[in-house]
Amino acid sequence: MDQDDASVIRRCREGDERAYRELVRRFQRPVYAVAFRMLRSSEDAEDITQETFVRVFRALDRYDPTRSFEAWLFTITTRLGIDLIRRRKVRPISLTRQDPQTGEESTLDIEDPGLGPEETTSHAEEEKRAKDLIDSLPAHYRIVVMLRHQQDLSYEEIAEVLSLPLGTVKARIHRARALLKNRVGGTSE
Amino acid sequence: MKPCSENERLQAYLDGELDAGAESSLRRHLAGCVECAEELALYERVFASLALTPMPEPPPHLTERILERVLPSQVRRRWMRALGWGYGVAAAGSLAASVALLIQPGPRGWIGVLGVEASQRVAQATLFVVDSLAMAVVHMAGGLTLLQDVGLRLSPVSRAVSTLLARPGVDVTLALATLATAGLMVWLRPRELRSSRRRVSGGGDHVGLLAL
Repeated sequence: MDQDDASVIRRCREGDERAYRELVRRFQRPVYAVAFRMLRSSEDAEDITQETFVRVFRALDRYDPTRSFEAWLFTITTRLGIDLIRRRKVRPISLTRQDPQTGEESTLDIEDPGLGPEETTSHAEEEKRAKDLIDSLPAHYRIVVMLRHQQDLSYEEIAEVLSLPLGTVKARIHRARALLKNRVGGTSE
Repeated sequence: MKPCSENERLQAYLDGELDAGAESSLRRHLAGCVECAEELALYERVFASLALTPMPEPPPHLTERILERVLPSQVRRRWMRALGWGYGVAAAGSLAASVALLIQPGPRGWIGVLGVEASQRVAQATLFVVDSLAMAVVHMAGGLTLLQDVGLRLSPVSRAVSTLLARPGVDVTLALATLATAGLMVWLRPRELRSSRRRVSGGGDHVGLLAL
């Protein structure tokens, strides 16, 4: 953990309100981003972000500084997000189909006219494409890819955040990238 | 056609997870395997796209919204506000119950008797305290004539006050005047406190008169 982050957390524990403001300012964006990617709704993402910080500050005295603060933060965020998805029974649009007998996943062929390699686009368009690409993943793939590529968490940290075995995390990330590779290449398995 | 077995290691290669030996062996393989080279190019595009994915920006009001819930001073203020409302509701309920009781003929009679009795007791106690104090001062002064005169002059004043308090209706009037004063003070509290709170709560949040 960043020394500066550690100092802010220590000051928060001492009740310094400026440190509270600083901690929120530093981490609200990644927390909101994770929540938004999970739920794809700005209102839900705001609620989850707020609730994450409420829980973080409530439990700050119990936080173990030897652990990654971001991992702890994202653990709370993802748990709240998963709870909300379960409560509302949100069904993310999936690019995969699971065989009920074998349990194997296969890719659904969805037309994506915006990803032709020959097209030249502006930076904003490229960003939008990238966003669409990550949004097109099923929720359980989207979150691992997001934590890995946007929040730069290690496989181990992602496993800790999501309370999943390391192997499962690696498999999900590899499978998600394979799906994206097929989309980028314009093929389906 | 069966895909090349080295395909499995491409992601680990891009993640930088392969050791030096495995990495150089894969590089040699890539130089001779068109299929793996194409796969690697596609994966590189995926990695580049993921790196480009914009992080969603939280709305500007989110920071204040979070701080409103977590800052210790705000939490205390919320508790005080809740306590204020609770106190206000309890006081209003008690007042309503008292009024309802007072307008009944039976209770009004015995409440009046009780009031007179209580007023007399209070007046007697006050008189006793003032007299005692006056005598104590006179004794302490060692019989100074001036202090004796002051003590003697204080006694009629205290008697007059206690007599006034003992009259029926004066205590109720005083109680109502106290309540009215308290209500007036709440109403006259600083206006900027209300407006700043309204700003913090986004303008739509109702702030009660008894909010602290």
